[in-house]
Amino acid sequence: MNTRLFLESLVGMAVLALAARGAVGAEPEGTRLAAQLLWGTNGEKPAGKELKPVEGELDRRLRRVFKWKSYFEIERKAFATPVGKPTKVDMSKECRLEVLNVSGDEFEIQLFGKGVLVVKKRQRIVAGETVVLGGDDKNDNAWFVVLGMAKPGDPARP
Amino acid sequence: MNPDLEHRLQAWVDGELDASSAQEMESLVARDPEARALGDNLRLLRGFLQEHEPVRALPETQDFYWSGIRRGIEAEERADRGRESSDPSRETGGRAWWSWVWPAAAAALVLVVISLFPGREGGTAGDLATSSGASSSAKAPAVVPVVGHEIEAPEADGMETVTFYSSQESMTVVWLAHADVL
Amino acid sequence: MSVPEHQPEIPDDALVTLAKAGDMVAFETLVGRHREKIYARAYSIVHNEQEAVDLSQEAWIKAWRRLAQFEGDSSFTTWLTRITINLCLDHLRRNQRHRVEPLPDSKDDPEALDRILPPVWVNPTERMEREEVRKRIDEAMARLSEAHRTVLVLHEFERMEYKHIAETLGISIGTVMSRLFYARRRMATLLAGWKRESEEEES
Repeated sequence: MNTRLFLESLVGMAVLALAARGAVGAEPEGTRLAAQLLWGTNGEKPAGKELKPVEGELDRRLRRVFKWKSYFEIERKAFATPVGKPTKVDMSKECRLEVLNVSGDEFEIQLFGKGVLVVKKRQRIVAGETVVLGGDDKNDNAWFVVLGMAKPGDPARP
Repeated sequence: MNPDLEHRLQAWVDGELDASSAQEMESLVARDPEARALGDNLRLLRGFLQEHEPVRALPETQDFYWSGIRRGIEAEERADRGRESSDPSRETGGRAWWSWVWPAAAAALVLVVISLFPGREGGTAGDLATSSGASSSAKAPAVVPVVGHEIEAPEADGMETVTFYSSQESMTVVWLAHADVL
Repeated sequence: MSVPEHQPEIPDDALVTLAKAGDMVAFETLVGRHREKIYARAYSIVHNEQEAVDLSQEAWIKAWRRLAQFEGDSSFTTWLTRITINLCLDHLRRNQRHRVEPLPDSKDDPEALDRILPPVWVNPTERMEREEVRKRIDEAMARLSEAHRTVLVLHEFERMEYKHIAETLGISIGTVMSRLFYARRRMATLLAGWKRESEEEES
């Protein structure tokens, strides 16, 4: 390869690289995820609380994996995850998520409870896959943070 | 009927008496309607209970249940290794190389057996990893899903976690013991 | 990796042999196959869901570590059940101050107990579904003290002889007999009471 051809190739690659950046720039917000804060119980729905029962496919999947019979949604949020920029999502007064889109479908997920880091995980999330962070709550109940790809109708509420 | 006699009658019903004591009880039952009724009732109740032993279903899935066992085994083995390394009187040169041959051969055998049953591509029983590292079973390429599995789990200090993947539900679960989140 | 839970082609003995050689997958298959039975036995003794889960898991862990000691004199499940029972009994002993109800043996306090079995103990469950019967028996057993329930479980469900129960629990054969008698009488009374209740409801 002579010098001219080499330079032309470099220019060509630079143009392609710029074009690629432009393409990424057309979707600046990155992958949209949805997070749900849920509460699982074998008892009754707590009185006086605005909790929506989890229904449909997610309810069936949770019941097949976990021992609790009923699941209630405390909060649901959909949010964009720009690559390289952490997104903070308050799921409740005490529960916060920080999600960093590392490389398109690979995410670093941090969960904070009462301001303290509880867990940090790297995880691939693609369509159809769900990540569930969970733990025991009082009286043999449990909490869950369910993460997956946002659906088209999910409102953006970071 | 006094308690001693009741207990001996019960022992007779349960086949716990020697031949001569059993003979005594048979005579007693033959002449005493109260003893006979008690013996009959004890026999009836025993049969009834044995026939209807309560069945209690495990309230956890196999995933969860097994992950707890696996975690316990690994914790005990870590403790053993710690004890071995801190005890200079023990052999320090490690186990003989052949001690690894049998487990490896056994694992290979099981893999062969499993490959004979291709109908199940990865149920829920073994797609497990704990926070202390992926299990050997979770590394089997035939059953570990390509997407969605754990990549790294640098959990906070002091937090016990159990991680597993349910391929049936396409769900990665990170269970955090003692986490204060709500 | 998953091995099908109910793999008829691989008998327990073969899985135990593999597990003895360090094969965790074989052991996992055994867990999948027998976990319900082991949990149920733990529950029958401690009558607490979470404790039964924990204790049955502990039994599996112990079994893994003691596999070399299992020589096949009994079936694997019999051996494992014995481990489970011993762990449950240790657990009850450790928590004795809080858990054992002050129910006396009939010899110790005969006046405190109803002295006889219901005169004619008719099966109170003739028209009941099997599951319902089991549920009622479970409820009645929950009302026994741990000491009485344990003897009843070991004798009626584990089919242990008096001598073996006495050795397992560290009590005399006489105490086994009196506890068993009391437990049976109490069960009969509870179940008969249940029959009366259901008859009254019907009428």
